[in-house]
Amino acid sequence: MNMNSNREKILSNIREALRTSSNLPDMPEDIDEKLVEKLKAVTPPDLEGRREQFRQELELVSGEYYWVNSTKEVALIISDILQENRYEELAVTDESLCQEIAEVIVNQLKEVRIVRPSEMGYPERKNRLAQVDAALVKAAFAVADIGSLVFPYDNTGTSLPHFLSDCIFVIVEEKDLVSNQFELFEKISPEKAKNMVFMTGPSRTADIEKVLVLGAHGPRRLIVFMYQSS
Amino acid sequence: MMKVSPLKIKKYISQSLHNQQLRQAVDKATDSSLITRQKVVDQIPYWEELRFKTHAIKKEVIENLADYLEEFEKNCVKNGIYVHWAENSAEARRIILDLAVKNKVKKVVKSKSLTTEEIHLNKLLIENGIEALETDLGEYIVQLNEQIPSHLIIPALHLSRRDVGKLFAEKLGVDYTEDPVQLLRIARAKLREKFLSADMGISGVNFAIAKAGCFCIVENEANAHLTITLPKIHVAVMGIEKLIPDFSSLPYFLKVLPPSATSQKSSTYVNFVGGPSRSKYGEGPEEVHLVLLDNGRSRILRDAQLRETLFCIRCGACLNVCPVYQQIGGHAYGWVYMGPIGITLIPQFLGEATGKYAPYLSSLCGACFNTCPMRINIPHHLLKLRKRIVESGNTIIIERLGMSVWAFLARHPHLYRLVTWFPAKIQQLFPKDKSFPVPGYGKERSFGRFDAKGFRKRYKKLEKEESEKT
Amino acid sequence: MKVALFIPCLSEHLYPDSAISMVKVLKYLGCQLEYVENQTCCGQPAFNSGYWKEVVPLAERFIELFSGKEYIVAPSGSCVAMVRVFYQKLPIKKQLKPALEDLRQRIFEFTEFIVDVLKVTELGGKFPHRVTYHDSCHLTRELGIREQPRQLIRGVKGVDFVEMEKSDICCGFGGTFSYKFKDVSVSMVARKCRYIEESGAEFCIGADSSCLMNIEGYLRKHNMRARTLHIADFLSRSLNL
Repeated sequence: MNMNSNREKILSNIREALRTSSNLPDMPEDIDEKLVEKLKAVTPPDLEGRREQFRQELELVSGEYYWVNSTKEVALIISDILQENRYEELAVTDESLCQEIAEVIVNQLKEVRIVRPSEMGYPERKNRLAQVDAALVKAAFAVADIGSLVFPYDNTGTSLPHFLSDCIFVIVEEKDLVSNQFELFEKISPEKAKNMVFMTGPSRTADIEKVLVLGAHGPRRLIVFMYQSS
Repeated sequence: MMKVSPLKIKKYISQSLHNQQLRQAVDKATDSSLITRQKVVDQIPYWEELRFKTHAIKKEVIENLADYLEEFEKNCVKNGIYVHWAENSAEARRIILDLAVKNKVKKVVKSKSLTTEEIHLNKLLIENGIEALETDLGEYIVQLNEQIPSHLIIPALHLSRRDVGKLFAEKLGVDYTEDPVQLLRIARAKLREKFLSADMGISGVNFAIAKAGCFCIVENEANAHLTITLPKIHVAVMGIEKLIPDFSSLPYFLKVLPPSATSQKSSTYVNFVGGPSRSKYGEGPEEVHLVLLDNGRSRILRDAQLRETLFCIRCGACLNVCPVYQQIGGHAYGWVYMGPIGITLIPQFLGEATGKYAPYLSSLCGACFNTCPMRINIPHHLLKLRKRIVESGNTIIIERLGMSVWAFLARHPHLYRLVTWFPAKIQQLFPKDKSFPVPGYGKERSFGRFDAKGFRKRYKKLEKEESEKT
Repeated sequence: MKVALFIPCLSEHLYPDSAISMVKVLKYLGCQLEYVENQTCCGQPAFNSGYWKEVVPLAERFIELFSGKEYIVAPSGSCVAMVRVFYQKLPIKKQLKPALEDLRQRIFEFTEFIVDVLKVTELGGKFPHRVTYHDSCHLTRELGIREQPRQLIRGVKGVDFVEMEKSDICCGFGGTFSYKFKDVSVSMVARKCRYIEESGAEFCIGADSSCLMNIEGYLRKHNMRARTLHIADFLSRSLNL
């Protein structure tokens, strides 16, 4: 049976089936209004409040949070963690902020090797990045009410470091903090939204006796730097 | 694996009820899920409003499904996604196998997809010499153990850490451990190799966005992301009912799914797939194929009420809260979709003959409807499905006769009173504390006692006494 | 207040005492009662099993029998739910639809009637025992009646009212379910009885005789201390009626 006849058959079956309209209940009239009202009530009115909400939510999902205002500060924290864990390599994406921080790190820790995904083709990129324990990436947005980070493919040009490393450092600018996903979809262009990833905490599973374990197939540790915009 | 069927429900239930370990595991898991879920829901003051909203959005899409599907297809194609239409399981399997053969695929990695289980995909791939590996930890464990999942969301619910430890030691040749952290490390290492060397990744779809021509996959482990980005080809299988209109609708669904499925405020990852990205970004799949599956869904649409059962987002919350599921677990239902939503889908997908017991496996308590994030009125649908089963002649003759007789008597009060006089008299033959002998009752729990007089006579006596007083 | 009595078949044949208690309590509260002669069954058992065709004439008969009554009260949530929620799903005669609509507004479950219509919560009786309360499924989830029975229990002096764990989880009766899937039903009621025992209550109060029959059937077979008590019996006893 060829493809088009499948398609035509399915669509005509659907149209035929839907000739009787539903007798399902309508939404009560005040729901939209109540939603707007209640959502507003749980949204901190000021930026500091939203930053605090983001931090709380992030920490609830086992993420770690730093409030920073210089690339030097970020580099110092990352260097410490790399040393503590004896991570020898750091994958860094192309954003200028990440590159700046990487430079400072390399000056600090001469033995750390910076790996740049954009310099590699495929399949080299995936195999190489699978060996790299730590990654530094930048999020386009942070979502306050659930502690999420947003990575449109377009911005980063890569998603592999976010998933293949054991420890991931994310930098996000304070100006890119939104209250919730409703606001996010108002701000982000549909073009970018089509290919992106939301990340809320490190990877996890509870499939064995419902015991929560971090570091399933993705990162075990997520560290977020909320970067104060000047 | 033996042929599992909803017709053998009574046998499976008996097996489950006698399996103490299973019952304890199911009890513990459902109980803790519900407690955590409540904590999360308590933090969402607009939870009830969300449920009304998701229902309304889905209703709009389902009532105009053909138009939305056409728009979705058009936009997917614009984004470089190949869209395939499969009328049934066989067609869907053929499409995927053809793609695999054409691209000389030897190794497939799969992220959790109930739809692929519905169409029995793995079996066909394996028969054709293609390795099809489940990568969701629970599904991986169940696959190694050569079983079927026992819960929509926690497939290995029925296995203890000791079971998993023994399984890994036996099948993977590793040292025995029962520490969940170590077990995960073992699975992670094994699966990492597979992700990196797979030729094709197969996933399901949680939400498909008509206006954008893209779809989302929600997960916690990161296995779905690796499944869909590392191999050259990504094939996604989606029931035609998974559509939502646009991006602005999505947050409502992303806010109800995680609390319902995994008792979380948010899932760890939402992956948006909007086309093949290899040429543009140097990584990701070279080809993205989407299989739109009907397999009986368009037939379900025909009923103006029962089409609400297509609103299901496969969260599994109804399983956790169902007092019947809590006693018997998922294997008892005999099909990929289990619990309250399962028993509404079994007769609709598989027919009244195969599904003649399923809708009766419920006390109609309504806990499911109360919890369902899509407000699917399962008890009302079960009542309608029971009616269908009766009308299709799939009930036993004694019951049909009994019901007709009872209904007849109830319309003729004198006959009714005459006939119901007998059990009252029979009851008097039994000692004072013995209940009325009803077949099937007695051993664990007794029936009630037929009263000698009945209310009507007692009331009349009471009235007489009162009027004599005054 | 003129009240027509709707006596479910289970109450008629197996638990008339509870229905008599309801009569006594309603009289105590000043109601003028009427027993509608020739009432038999609302049709729920057949309806729940899928025999809708057989139930249509029963429903039509019920609507005709009870039309024109100011208030109709029953000692059962599931039977009231049958009329209020499920009768409208049946293909009854078009001419009877307005009568059904009217009936739906006038039919009440016992505790709902006392609290919401008579506006009474404290009947002034006494019952010095520890009690708990079971939320029946249709009463709770189809009719939304949760608070009214509790208010009436708390309105009685000397009562030590404890909530059991998961008071609203199904007791496992479900009508023919208790027979068709007997073992599952028994394991559900076993759990309910365990919760009752853990609460330490002497009595488990409820508003539906079907649930209470199921629960007591298990309690007795397993020599458990607690006994069930229909809320009408509870109130009647507390007032020494």
